[in-house]
Amino acid sequence: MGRRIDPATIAGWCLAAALVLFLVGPILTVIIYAFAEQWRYPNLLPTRWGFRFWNVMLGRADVAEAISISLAIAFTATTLSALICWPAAYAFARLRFPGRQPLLMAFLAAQAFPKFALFIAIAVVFLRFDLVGTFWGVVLVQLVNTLLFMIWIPTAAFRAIPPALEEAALDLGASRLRVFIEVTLPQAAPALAASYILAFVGTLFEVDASLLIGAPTIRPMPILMLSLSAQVVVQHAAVLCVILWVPAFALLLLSRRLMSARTIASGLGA
Amino acid sequence: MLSIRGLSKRFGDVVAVDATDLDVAEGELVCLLGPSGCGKSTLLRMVAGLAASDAGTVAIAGRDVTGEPANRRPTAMVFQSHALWTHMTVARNVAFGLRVRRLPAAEIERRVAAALDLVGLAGYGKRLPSELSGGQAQRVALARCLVVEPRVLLMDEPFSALDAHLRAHLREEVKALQRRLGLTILFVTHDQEEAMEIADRIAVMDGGRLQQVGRPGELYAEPRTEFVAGFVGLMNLRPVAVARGRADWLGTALPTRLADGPATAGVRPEDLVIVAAGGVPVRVERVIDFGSARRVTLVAADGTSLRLQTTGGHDLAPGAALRVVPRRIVLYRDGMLADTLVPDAADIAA
Repeated sequence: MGRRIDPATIAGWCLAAALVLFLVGPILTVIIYAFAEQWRYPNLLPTRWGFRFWNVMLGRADVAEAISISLAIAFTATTLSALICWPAAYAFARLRFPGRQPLLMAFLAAQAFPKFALFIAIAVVFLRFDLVGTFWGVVLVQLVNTLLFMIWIPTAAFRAIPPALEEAALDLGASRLRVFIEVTLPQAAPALAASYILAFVGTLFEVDASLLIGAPTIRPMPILMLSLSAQVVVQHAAVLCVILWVPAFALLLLSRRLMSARTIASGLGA
Repeated sequence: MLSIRGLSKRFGDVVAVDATDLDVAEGELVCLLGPSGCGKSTLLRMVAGLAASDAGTVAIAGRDVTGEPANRRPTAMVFQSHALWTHMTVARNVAFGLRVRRLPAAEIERRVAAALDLVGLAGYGKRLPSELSGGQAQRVALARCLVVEPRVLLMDEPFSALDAHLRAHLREEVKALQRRLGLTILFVTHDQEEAMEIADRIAVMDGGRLQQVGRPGELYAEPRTEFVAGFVGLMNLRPVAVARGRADWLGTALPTRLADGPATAGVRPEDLVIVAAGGVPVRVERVIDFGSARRVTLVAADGTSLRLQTTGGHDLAPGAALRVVPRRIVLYRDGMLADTLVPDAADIAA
């Protein structure tokens, strides 16, 4: 029985191959580098494998410090952002006030603005307030970065809750606050958690703002990586890369589980 | 128990509910019946406090609650989309209103079990709403309301998302519960059959106005507006001209006290009678045999379609020629009932 090969299948395979080449290829190279003790030209694979560079990197004080400062910044910035953005998202979803739609658009507009220029402007202001080179300076500028995820996705999530769910609770005698805590929040929880994770991971990897506002005293992971990448021994940066990548990937997978593709799409205005 | 006076609501330029008065006695089930967009749901939501009224008052058990928010009114509402909280178990859904009232845990447990038993879902407490069928979910929504013992139970098209068979079944259950517990219910529906079956009294609404309030049989026998005549039960409605004290119904001039001018005449299908001679000549187009009765679609010489219902043994094959006379005609002018004609043989001969 001769099986005809569907042209769509061929196209699919070509696309898959291209994706592997452009997406998986670079990541794989970095991962291989992290475990390569010796990799001489022209070998396709490392000539000696091992954990030597892992021992070096994990033993370095600046790495440990960078990891802890990165986590502290990401956690503080994302949590602050949640405290500000989630109530705002609820207002956008449920309340009718003048300028609601333009304001929501303003967040999108800010996201489209060239970030580097924005950060330079912020840096000038921060200089005056002695915030440059401080922990809180970096946290504040990272906050700006999280706004889109933390406003748009939660707004879509709150909007997706049928009003009757809240009305039923109100009708049975619950206060507005109780309705919000017992009905609205749990209904929106998966999408809220997903927005938190996306913002958290984004903050963890952010380079521009950290570089402009944090340098030279605040050195989170990506900044350390940047300086290491410019050195002769590439493996240091590769190891750091894998250390950052694994938990971030796990978190993103989790956020995907928490939230349907539709919520993400409608969160981004689709 | 529930007393609505002059209640009004506008949405921009649209009057959704226009100065409506309605009373529901204790233990009574009143249906708000009307086509979609007639304002019946808005009226219900204003009673619940979920929509603000522009004018008028709502009093429940003698207390004016007009200014009170939904969470302080002694009402509970069953929504069209059961509106169960999907992150809570059935028991927790039902317990919500009692937890809000800070009752002791043991009493909450007892009353939740009793309420679930009442709606035939004893033992379903640990399930999640996603594990229920549509009918079960709506029963849980009912239990969630009953458990707080509301003075007035509000139901907003509670069964319209269910299939016809289940709908009829749940209707029966609600009616039985209402009788047994003496519940006071305001029930919104667009389905006249549902209203006829369940209601002690029906309030027919159209265009934001109450058209007529009465017992189901009353509405059918004495529709006071043209809208009610057309909406409740079948009615052959057609425009007629009144001239010199007579209304011209398909060539039959019937005496009326109405002044000259246009009017609308209505004849119930069972009020059209087949006669041997005289009357209006018609042709049989289609016959539906219900067994107990036959409903016949007739066409008059001018193309007017008439529906006749008969239990008699006439030979009614499609295409057959018949003569019919109206036994009873209601005349409407400007939408309001103006005259009821019961023609005698002499009138028809003329």
